[in-house]
Amino acid sequence: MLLWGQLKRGEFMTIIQDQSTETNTANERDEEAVVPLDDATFKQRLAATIPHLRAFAYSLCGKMDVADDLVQDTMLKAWGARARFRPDTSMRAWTFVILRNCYISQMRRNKFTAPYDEGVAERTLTANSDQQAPLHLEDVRMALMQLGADQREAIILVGAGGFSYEEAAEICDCAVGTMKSRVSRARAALVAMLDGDSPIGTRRQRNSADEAMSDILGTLDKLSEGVTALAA
Amino acid sequence: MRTSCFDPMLMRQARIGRSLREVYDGVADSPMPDQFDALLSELDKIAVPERR
Repeated sequence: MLLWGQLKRGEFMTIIQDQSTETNTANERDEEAVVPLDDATFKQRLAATIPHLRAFAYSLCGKMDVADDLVQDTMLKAWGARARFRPDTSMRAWTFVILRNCYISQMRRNKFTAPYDEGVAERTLTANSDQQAPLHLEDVRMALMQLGADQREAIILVGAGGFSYEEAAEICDCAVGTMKSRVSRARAALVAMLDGDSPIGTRRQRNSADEAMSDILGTLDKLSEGVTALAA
Repeated sequence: MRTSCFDPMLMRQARIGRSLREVYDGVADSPMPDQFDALLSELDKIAVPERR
């Protein structure tokens, strides 16, 4: 086994170039073997990903109208690059990468911030009101939007989108270990927020505290009225 | 004293995971705006420069 320290710079560059040439040749062979989808089939598969694209876009930007614009841009870019789509790969993962790149480009270009819009979410999203619902979805949505962008997309891709760590890492262009770490940290942060260790979770506690304070002040008012009446 | 064999932390994470999926499905299952149908039917006519 060769140690990196034993290689001279020239030898190292030769190895890299050889590997690069081999990889390029392999890629060229692969590309030759791939037959692109016909337009109708491509369009059909693209249409099937729209609901997922909308959900992912919403989780990234937090606004439904911005999310729909992102999905439109994504569809146009995907259509333009359809010759490069490999039919034996996941259309959903491929379009998620495009959507994520669109979002990052927009962020850089417009420097727009996407605050969580509760009103839009209320109008757009449907939440089950059954007794089995484990948590208030509104709280989950708010907690989700308070996560950092990296953690948010990680937990959505793996926790809700059904992607494997490997697929999610590929979509986010990071190492699998990084993806696992982001998901783990996002889970911990959500548990902390929803269990009351951070602002989202304490909202209900704060409301309870406010109610308790109101009760106390109300009681004091009544007592003071009695005292005032006695004094009069 | 704990009487359940389930790890409370895992149970909480499972509940959160389920809620996350509901949030995701809430958007994915919501009615799709007409703009997408229009876009799909227009794609053939739209020339988009390939850049990715």
